[in-house]
Amino acid sequence: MDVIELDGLCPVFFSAADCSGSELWNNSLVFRKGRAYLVEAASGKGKSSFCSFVCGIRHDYTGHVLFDGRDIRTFAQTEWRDMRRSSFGMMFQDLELFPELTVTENLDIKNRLTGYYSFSEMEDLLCRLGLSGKSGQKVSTLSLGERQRVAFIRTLAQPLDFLLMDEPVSHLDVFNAEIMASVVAEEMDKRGCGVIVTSLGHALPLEYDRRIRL
Amino acid sequence: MGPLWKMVRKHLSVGQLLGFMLANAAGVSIFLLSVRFHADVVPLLKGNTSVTGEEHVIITKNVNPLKSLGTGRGNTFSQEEIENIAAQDFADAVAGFRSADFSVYAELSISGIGMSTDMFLESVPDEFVDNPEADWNYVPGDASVPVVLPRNYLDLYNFAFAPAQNLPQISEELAKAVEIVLHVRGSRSETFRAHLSGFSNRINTILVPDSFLEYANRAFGSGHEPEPLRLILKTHSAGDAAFAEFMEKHNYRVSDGRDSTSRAAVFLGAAVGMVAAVGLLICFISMFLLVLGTYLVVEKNVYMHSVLFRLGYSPWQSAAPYVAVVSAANLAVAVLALIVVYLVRNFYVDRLGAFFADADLSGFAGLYSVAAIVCVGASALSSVLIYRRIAGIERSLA
Repeated sequence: MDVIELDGLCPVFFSAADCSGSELWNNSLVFRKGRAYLVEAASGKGKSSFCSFVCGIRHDYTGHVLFDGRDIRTFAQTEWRDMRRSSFGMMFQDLELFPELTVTENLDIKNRLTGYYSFSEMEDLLCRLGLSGKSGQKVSTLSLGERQRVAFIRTLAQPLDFLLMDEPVSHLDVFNAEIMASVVAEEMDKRGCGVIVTSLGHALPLEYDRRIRL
Repeated sequence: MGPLWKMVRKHLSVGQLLGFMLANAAGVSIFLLSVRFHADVVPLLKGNTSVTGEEHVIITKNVNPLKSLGTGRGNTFSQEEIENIAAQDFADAVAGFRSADFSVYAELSISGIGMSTDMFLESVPDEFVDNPEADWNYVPGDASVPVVLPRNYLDLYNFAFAPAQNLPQISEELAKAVEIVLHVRGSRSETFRAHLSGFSNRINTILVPDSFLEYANRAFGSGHEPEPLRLILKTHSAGDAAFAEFMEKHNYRVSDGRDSTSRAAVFLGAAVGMVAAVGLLICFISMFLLVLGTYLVVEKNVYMHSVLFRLGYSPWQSAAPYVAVVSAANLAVAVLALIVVYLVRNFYVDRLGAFFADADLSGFAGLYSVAAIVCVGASALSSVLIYRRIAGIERSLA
């Protein structure tokens, strides 16, 4: 997948006033592979709704989301399944980790589906993101910031054309946010993937090609 | 053990699973036992009915009270009557019993113990003899005449006479070692050595090869071959109404026990069928209880399934731990049921073996296939139901 297009996208529960002044809602917008985008907004402006629309788990919107020119409403479940394994990665705001599993098991549950990382590569990433020694620890015992980093690594454990991250550093300090940003930049260079990040204000410190006001 | 299994296992109730397995094992055991019991017993009740439905029956004329006052040969079949029976649709082949036209006195001895008795001999064409031995023939000058006895005779001795008289029981092999001397008296006298060639379930007489009686009647008889008192009929339709009507119309009697054993076989089949149906019902109910129990576990794991779905898992991949548990439970149930059936069957085979000495009760292989079909069928049905439930959850999240 090379291009994600938004054409007149707007949540059905938004009034015209809610959409006024937005560069995203009710507009035409194109996200290209290999580039970084930041979607900024205050709370309640629909960041998470935007992410849910684009990753195909909510359909309560008007307008169109197009992947390589094709409306995602027409995608079959098997197509979504393939995309979620091999081209489209999503880091959810609520992280969607399994608290009763360990860090390694949470990563393994995705990685055994894709076989993307070796065990040592995952260990290296954990180490780099400040989680060394935590691999056998249950996620329920981790801090929110640590969980955010585990969810980030899990999102990377697959081939990527686009990476969508919903407030990925909301619980991270500046130091850890910069480490995460450096990993994202390296992955963009290595894989040539596009990155779309949402933020309430404390954004992932990345060099963005475009900042979009929601 | 994968992380998925770890999460599913947390909500599994071991007690519930064991309860299901015991209930299902009871159902499968009842079903398999019914199938096996039917396969073991019904052929025995049908007696001389082969697997092809071919049956040999003995036809006699009903003994008339007035005729019974005369000589023993008042109820013979004429050639015309035999031809009439042969012309019927139900008749595949028919032949009369050839009787000895001379008197026979036999001496029997084994290990130095001897007895002697008057005896009668009969023969039928070789094609009607069940499982004739290779020596079933006689050419004048042969050293010994083969003789076949009804197996009932041996049973009567082993299970009635010997226990009552505190005598040892005799196996078929031992019985074949009995030395027999036949003293034939007719138009002239002669002595023949004879040996026991085998036992028959089909023909209730002391049987010698047709070739021997043909020779002996010619050599020692009056010169007038007597008409047969009994006929042997090979048929595929002994249970048909036309057969019964014909026999009744001509006042013929069909060999003892055939009708009652056929009826018994039908009733036993029906009774066993009902028991098997109850067994299957228990199987189905317990299987659905397991599936419902699994549904509850799936409901408790809705969050897990929604996340797996967003990570790219297919419904089959999400359902894999449940399918593994259900399949393993069904396999354990099948093995448990086979053990139960094996033990119970050993119990009744011991008893049936005494009543039906010729019964082939050795086979157990067919039951493995039935158990495998039940196990695979129940696992497949349960798996599809679980898959549909999980696919339904994922559809509602899409």
